[in-house]
Amino acid sequence: MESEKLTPWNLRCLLIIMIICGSLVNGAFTVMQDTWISVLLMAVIYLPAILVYSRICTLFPEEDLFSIMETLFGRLGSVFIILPMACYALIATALQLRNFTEFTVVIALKNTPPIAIMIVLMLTVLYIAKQGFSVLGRWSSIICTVISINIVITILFSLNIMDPAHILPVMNHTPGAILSNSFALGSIAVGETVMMMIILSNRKKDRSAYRIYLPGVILGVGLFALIILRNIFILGADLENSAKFSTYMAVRIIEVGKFFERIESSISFVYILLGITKMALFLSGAAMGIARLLRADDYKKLLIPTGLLVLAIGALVFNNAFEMFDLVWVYQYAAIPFQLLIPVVIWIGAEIKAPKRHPAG
Amino acid sequence: MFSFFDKRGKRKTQEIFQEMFPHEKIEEVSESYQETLTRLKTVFRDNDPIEFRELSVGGREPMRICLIFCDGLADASLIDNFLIRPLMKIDEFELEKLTADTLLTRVLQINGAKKTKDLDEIIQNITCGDTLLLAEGVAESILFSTKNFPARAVSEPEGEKILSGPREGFTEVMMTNLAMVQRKLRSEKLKMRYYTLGKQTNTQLCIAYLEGIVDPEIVQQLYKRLDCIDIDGILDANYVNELIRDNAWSPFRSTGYTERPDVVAAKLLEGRIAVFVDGTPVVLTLPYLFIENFQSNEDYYLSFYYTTFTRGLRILGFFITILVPAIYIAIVAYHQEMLPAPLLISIANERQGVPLPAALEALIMLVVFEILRETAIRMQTNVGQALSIVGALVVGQAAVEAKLIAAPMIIIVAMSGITSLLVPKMNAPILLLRFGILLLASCLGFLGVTVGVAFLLAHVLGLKSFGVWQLSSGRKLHFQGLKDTVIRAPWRNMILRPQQLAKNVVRQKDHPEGQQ
Amino acid sequence: MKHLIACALVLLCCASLSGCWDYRGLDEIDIVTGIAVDKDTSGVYRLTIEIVDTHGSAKEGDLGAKYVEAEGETLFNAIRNSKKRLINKLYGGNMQTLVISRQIAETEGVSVILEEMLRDGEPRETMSVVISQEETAKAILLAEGIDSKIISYEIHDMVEEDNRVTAATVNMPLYKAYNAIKGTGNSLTLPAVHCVQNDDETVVEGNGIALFEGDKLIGFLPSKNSIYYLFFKNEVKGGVISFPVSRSDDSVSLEIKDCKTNVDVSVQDGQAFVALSIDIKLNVMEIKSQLSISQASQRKALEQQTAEFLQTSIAGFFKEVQNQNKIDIFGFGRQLYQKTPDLWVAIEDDWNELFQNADIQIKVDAKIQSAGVLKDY
Repeated sequence: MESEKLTPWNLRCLLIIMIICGSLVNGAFTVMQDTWISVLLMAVIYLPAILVYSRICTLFPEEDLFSIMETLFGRLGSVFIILPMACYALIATALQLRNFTEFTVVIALKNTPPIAIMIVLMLTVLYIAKQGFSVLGRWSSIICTVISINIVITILFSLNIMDPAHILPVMNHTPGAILSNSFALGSIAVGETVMMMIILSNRKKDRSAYRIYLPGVILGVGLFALIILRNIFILGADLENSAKFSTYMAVRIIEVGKFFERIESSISFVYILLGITKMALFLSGAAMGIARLLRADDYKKLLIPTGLLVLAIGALVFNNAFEMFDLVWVYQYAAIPFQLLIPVVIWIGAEIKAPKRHPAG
Repeated sequence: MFSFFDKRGKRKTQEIFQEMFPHEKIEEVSESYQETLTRLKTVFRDNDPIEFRELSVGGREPMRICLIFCDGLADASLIDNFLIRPLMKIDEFELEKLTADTLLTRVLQINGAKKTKDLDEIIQNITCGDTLLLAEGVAESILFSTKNFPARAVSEPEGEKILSGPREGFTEVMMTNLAMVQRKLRSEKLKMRYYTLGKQTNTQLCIAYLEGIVDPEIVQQLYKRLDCIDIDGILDANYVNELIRDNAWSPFRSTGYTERPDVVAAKLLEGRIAVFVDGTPVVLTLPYLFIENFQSNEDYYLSFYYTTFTRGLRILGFFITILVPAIYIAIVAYHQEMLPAPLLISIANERQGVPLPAALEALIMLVVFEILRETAIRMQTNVGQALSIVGALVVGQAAVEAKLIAAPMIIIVAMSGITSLLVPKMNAPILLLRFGILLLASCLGFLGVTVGVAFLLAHVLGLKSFGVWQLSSGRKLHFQGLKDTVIRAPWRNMILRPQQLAKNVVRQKDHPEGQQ
Repeated sequence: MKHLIACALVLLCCASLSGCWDYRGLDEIDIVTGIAVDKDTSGVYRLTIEIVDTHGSAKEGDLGAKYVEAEGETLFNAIRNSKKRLINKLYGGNMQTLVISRQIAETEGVSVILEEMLRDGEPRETMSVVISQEETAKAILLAEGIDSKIISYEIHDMVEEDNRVTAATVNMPLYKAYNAIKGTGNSLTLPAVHCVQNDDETVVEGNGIALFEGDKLIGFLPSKNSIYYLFFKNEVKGGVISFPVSRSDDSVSLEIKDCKTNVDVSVQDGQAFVALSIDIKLNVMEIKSQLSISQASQRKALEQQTAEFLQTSIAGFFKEVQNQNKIDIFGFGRQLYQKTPDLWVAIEDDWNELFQNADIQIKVDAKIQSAGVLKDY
């Protein structure tokens, strides 16, 4: 018999997926050919946050984020941080839903109303979330493999049209500009791994949270940088910057022989699976938070209403495509409380209370 | 974990039922000969094949004896020669006192015999070919095993033909089937336990496993689920399959089935459990891994290079058969840019003048294909020729020439249809998936295909068979775990049994890797 | 069971209501293969759109092409106006060639047109953009094809092949062209085509390179000079070099098998230097002289002569560009920017003057590899 617990690899794959998902968020790149540097830097900038997340999960190895909150701050006190956190998960899901809908519209379905695509994506997300975390974990290791193969194949096929000179001149932007782009990118890619805390309690016992978080984030950021480099090499910084979804445009240019020359549709749809995975995790997080607030014992029953809520938010969030670009700049500041402040509060609380609960530490 | 079974509350309804109609105590036959005989005659009234053969034996003080058996099921010559003949000559034995024991030990020359008083047991045994002996003045009645019913000869199963390897197949008689397996596994570790199911049919099941290899938790789980079954009749193994499966609505199998003793033996050796059902040649094996859909027993009898290749073909075939019509529609109706220009132009040219949209065309053609296939299975063999001609000519050539159907569609449907035959164990899911993904693709293009595949993957990942994930990718990928999945490693290298199933996973102990 | 029915109904509604907004049957689209953009004197865009004629029978060979003409105040307007003459939707996903007339390229530049094509999302980024040297761009599309009846595909393949085999033109797909306009210090060049008579038919022929300043056409390079231009871009993959040896009526022809060039641009004290080093491998194809290439010394001499020939021709070509075109058509500025971005910012405005006075140093390393299937002759 197998356990329902997740292996470290499952969780690392989920982390990788969450991070490279950020490469598809449009409008987040501002430093042209130096984007890859800011991608690598975001791992450094967000390292303290990652360490805080890991520490919390180490102190409470068998509790999810929301139950940690409740243990630390009591039934009443925890409401004040569970509520915003659940709302954050909810809104972040809606943003991703919207972003991937836009992606779908751009790559294929130009005349389809976005709400139809949203419903279809949401149904898939709901089904995966409903299947539970053990399915989500194994699902993500498969998707992660597929994506890695996908990246390797596109790189191999595009070797002849790549021009490494496109990344020159290196560091032609001020460190400040690069760092601020790094911070913005990180809030989308790395910062959102705060949600991993709801699933890390499902890891196999005696698996260190650090050993899951750190390699996952490093691999994820590495792949992210690889994707960005590939896009810059193929497209050149200018086109990369003016394309709405540069990954899609880059694979459009790849030609594989005469017969299979056009592979972009099939390849870019794989990227949608990334978004679906991330949304499934966030939706579960939102549902778990709401379930804890409402004292419901099974969060899965709340998935469908939560999903409908996300759909409603997603349909209302942006009036047009331009607003989505603008949002990236608001998001990096709006996310600070959830990605940094609340985890730090939990961490301090945990350091004070945890030793009493676990004498061994 | 198995909330499904608790939810249905089978157990509970059964308990309530028992409270309402308290089960009668085991009904015993009375000690009086006459009373018992009348009781049995009322039980078997209006049941002509049941024979009551009354004898009067012994010279001086004749004693009345009655043999009750079912005509046709019981072996007449056995009864004649070894029951009636010695009874008639009972005087020769010079018995002091006639009891059931003396009859058994000294008079009757038949090996299977059993004393009993349980009326239920008596009735059940008579209806399956045993003979009951009632004797005046003897308290107990005796059941003799005289079963001899018509059975099919052992032959190669039609559904699982192979090129090389053992050719015998199971028959409808469970005892024969058990014997065939026992002959392959000559080990005291092979445990076979009977289980009766079906309130009306009283069908015998036999649960077989190899002790020491099997995971006892799974055996327990199986018994628990069998206990929950409350059905009037079991006529085929699929009744059991559907009643004990984990995910009731999934189209994918959660137990394996086979008609071959060698397959059963191999599955037992991997730590699986086999469920034999009397009256059907199909034997269930469980737990069932997803990869078994692509495996065939022949994989292990032929060169591993060849079988690795064919296994790859089967996996490819599965994806082709469910995806090709959908991808074709997605490309032709949504993503024309994926086609190279010459191909696009030639398909566009073929489609000129075809009245139906491509999506509808695909749907209709797939249904037509299924109709042809279904008729081919059900019809008498001598009209087969006619049908294939009609199918090939009318649907293929004539429809294209009349511009009813575009030629590429015929290729797509044929490809999808033929490849579906590569994986016969998945015909139900293939049917659903092919049409489902096709519909999605016709509405949403490649997004539909992606969403369909995502649903499929999430569904299959969530499938369990007796607590075992059917598709497991959770563990770190190491070679030993892969050896019998996408590839088929040589036997020399298959040191471990499938790890999800067996408790004792080491197959080849002397091998260094096996000792770890 | 009720749940199941409910779910099925919801799905059914989704499927039927979704209505397949993007579904476009192959019989409802006209496959655009190429567009020619002209502008008449009144400022109206005139498009000639080549579409595939799918009504013929494919079995009898190639399918032909049809042409739709349209007019409009803007490019997009014109494309939409063409719909007035058609039942089917125009589908541009397999479009391969965009022909721009000389007048548009000279007066208003190509960047609007290129950007419109990219923004639309349907036409491929890899399609060829060519400049017509004829009176109109339409004339190019209306020419006959030799290999294919669809002239757009013929042009696209021709440009790619020409670049690879004869080094007679540049291969500049749409996305590279866009980058060339937008990139700092880069300069755009596009293949130029014209019509010629071939066996009583008017066919299209590549004819050198169109040169741009920003996105405006400033002139053409004749196709014999194209190879020298390509040396600077490290894009020579084939082609022929022929030159006279010793006596004036003797000559050799060499086929380029492999060529690697390296350009190094530097600016020092207000003086630009260009160092070009060429590493070229050749096959002897045609010899009309007394040379005996089976002898090592003669081979050496031939290699020497080749190098010298290339050096003088390239230097001459470079001077010509400096004097006639007066602008950096090679995109040296891009290289300076990539190497020393700070320096580039300082000299960007004066770059064209610096270029006109730039010194060039050419180093050629020519290697003769074989003489075809003949050992000698």
